[in-house]
Amino acid sequence: MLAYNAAHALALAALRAAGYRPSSAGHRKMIFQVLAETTDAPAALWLALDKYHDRRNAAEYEGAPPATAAEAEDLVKLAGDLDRLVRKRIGQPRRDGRARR
Amino acid sequence: MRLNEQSAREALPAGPDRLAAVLFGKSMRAILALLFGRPDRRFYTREIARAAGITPSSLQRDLAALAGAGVLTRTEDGRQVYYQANPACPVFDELRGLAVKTFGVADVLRRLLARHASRVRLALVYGSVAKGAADAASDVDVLWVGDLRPSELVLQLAAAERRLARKISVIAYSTEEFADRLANDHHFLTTILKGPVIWLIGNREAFDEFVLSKTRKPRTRKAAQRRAARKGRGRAPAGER
Repeated sequence: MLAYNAAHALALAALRAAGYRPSSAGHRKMIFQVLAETTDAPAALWLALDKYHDRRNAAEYEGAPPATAAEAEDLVKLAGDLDRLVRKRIGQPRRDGRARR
Repeated sequence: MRLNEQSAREALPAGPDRLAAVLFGKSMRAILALLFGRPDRRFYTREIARAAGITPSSLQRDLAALAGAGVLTRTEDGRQVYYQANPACPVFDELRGLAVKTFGVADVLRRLLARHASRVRLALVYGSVAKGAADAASDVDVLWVGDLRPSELVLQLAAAERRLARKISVIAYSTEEFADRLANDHHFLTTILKGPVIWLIGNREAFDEFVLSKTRKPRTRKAAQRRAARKGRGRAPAGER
């Protein structure tokens, strides 16, 4: 849960740094899905975070068990990867209309 | 003599994936896997072809035959032709069972996990898909035990989701945590294991063996306690639980 929150905060920071903000509360899933744009997250990273978002919801709302130790460990690693990407991106000048790739 | 040998070999029970290959051709398996995996939905030909990774033209003959036999219903909507599993087909339930247990969900997931077989001790499908009670919104619930991290498989899982037209939810346990939860009668696990499951890696026997090998530890500890108690009987006869 802690690792999930860290990943979420990082993804949100990336979104804000890219000049966007969530239009209202409850855009948790979207925040992970736009990571390829707001950071240079490879598909494997943002898809994994997106999966863990669904996993979090299943545990929170649908009676699935809380994250296992193995999953928590996995997610901590993913959050670390995201942290590096976000720091890298925030250090760079903001993108203007023409996206540089 | 040679004949005998051969028939003996053939009498061995085939794996679920081989069973499907014996019964149906490739395009037939692809069609039945998708349409009977999602009987609530209709699919157009290109959609089926894309999910199966084969050309639409190679599906046409089987689709026409299946629709002709009443296994599928064929509907036209504008210029689009749709196919759907036909619930009125007398063997609808059997085909759905076959599709899920052999060449559908189970096969796709088995292939995916087979590449990491050395790091997965047990893997199974539980929940509505295993029960045969899946509806349009149902996920495929997968549980595995071992060192394989869910994030390692996301790309392959995404491909499998497209193929099955269903979302896949994974819960992963390390061997130690799984054994620990079982020993403590973790409600979630005991409920799953009481219900119907589809084994992807391992089977009920392998599972029972696993449980035995893990529960032996506390037993020996108890035995050690008993031994210790016997030794120290002279000094402390009572108070042993």
